[in-house]
Amino acid sequence: MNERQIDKLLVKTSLGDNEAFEALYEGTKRGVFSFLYSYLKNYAETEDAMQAVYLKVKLNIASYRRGTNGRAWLLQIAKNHALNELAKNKRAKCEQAETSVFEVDISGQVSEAMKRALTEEEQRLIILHVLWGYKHREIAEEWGCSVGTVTSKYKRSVEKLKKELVKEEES
Amino acid sequence: MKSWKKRWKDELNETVPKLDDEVKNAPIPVSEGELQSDGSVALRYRRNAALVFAAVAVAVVLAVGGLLLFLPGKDVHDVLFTLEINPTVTFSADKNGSVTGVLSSNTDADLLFAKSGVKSGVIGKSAAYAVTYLTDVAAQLGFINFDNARSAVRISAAGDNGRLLLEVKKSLTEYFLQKGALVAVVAEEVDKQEFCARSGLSTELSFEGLNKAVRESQTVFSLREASGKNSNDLKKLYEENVAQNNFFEYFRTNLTDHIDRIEQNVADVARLVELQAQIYSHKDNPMTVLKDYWSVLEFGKGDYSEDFASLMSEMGELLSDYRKEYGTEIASIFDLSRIADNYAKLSLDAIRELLDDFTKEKFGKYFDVLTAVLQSAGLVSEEFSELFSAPETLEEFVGKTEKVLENSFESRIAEFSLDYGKDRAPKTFSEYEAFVADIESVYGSLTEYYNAVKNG
Repeated sequence: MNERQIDKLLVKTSLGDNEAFEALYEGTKRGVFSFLYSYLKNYAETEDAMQAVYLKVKLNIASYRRGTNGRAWLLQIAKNHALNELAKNKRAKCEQAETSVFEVDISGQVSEAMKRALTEEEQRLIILHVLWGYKHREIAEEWGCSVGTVTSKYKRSVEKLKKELVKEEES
Repeated sequence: MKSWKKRWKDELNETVPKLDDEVKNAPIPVSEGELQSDGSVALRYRRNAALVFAAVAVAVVLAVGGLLLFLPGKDVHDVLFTLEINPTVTFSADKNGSVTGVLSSNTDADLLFAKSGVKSGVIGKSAAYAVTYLTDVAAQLGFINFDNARSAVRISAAGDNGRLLLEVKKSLTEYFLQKGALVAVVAEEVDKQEFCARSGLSTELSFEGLNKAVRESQTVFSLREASGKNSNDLKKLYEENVAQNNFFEYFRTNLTDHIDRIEQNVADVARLVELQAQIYSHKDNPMTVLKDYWSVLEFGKGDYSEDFASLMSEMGELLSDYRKEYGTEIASIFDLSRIADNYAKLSLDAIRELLDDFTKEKFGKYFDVLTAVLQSAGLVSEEFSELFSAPETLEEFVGKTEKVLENSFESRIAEFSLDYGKDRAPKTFSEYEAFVADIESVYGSLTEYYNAVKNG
């Protein structure tokens, strides 16, 4: 779902259209889920967080302004919620830490390969680009680094992932 | 071979949870919006609505985030409040205004909690959100008719300094206006005694005890009542609280719509009884002790007189037709007696008379017999039939009650979905003020109006 579509659905939701809200969920759920999971690293907590995030979207919909970045607005709600949850659980993990080890409790060959092979930052890079449609330039602006850095990090992450997938298939 | 991106997205489609019903059904705080010529939406708020939504949205977000922005002017301890629509629901809230417990206070309210997640959907939320959310669930279940010109709900609070009650009242009033309904929202501070009278909680408990009871007791009223009961009392409780409330419409509709089929069943059973009596007393019946049709069939040698054989054959055909028509195997004299006895307890004429003025009390009195009539006429599925029979243990009671409530929830949501979802132009606060002024001029106060509405 692209930015314009998200914006349209958010506006319709703000006018009381619950079907638009449900369509918004369907169109963004993979991106929100993966994004939350990259922070919480636990399926059960991510499942709860999903519902809480979308409830917050609904309850705060009046604060959304048409034409502003709906995608970013949604992700910000998700990120804030994830960080609150982490703080509540006293799990001290830096946003862009290099660690990559956490329990695998979500199934799927690609998902598992991502968790084994990539750091949190690399995972979020792929989530933003592949699931959310963020361009490298947009990610660079968000992260405060150069486009070149994002592009090479993305390329490296995909290579690592593909290598892990091949290793998995061969074993 | 699919690309890794496609495979990943497919995996996520399998993994990502569905949207919870509670989130799906949560009301959207809508502001009046007007699409502008440049494509933007100018959000105009109805009078006072901006303050209401700002207050509710902030209270909700911060209650969820766990921060304290809701700072009362004076000391506020735990608060108890009850929402009477009918159904009646009782809540406890902490001094920050977050809901800590919720109970259904009557059998109608049990339906609100039929789906898992409803209770957890309000715990930890602001009182304003919790009350509005459950009111919306009640509306979806048909307990509130937005088109009813004579409607009132009451919120009573004990232990509050007035602020929480005001927040809840504002939120609820705004909810009804958005739905295009004019519903009088009565909000009253009451003492512990009066609170117990309205919520059905015990007056013997202290205020802290009441709070604890709301937080820790079984949420569903019928299940709370069942605790400590013996099997006879459980049967009575099931029939009065669960069956009467949830099956009444089902029985009324089925009996009324299928009275012709019941009449046919009565006639078929009567013919079987008559034939069985003829077989029993026939001079050529080869048996000396067990002379009923089934015993003759099983133990008789088959060497019958022509007359007797004809009776046996006719009985066999009738039983076969009965099985095909009604889905019931009458496999013994006892089966036949049981079915015939039901119609002896309640004849067809008596059933018709009952349906002319079918009340819950009459339904309760004849529940067993009417259940047998529906089963006899093949008008109820085996699964549903199982729910009609009274439980004997607490475990059975809980299992059946939960299933009945879930079935009722689903059927009521479907039944009232058109009414609930009808397009209604939102009302304005001015219209509400005029509505209240009219009520006060006729009844003296909203409280008097509420009492008048509730007393019919």
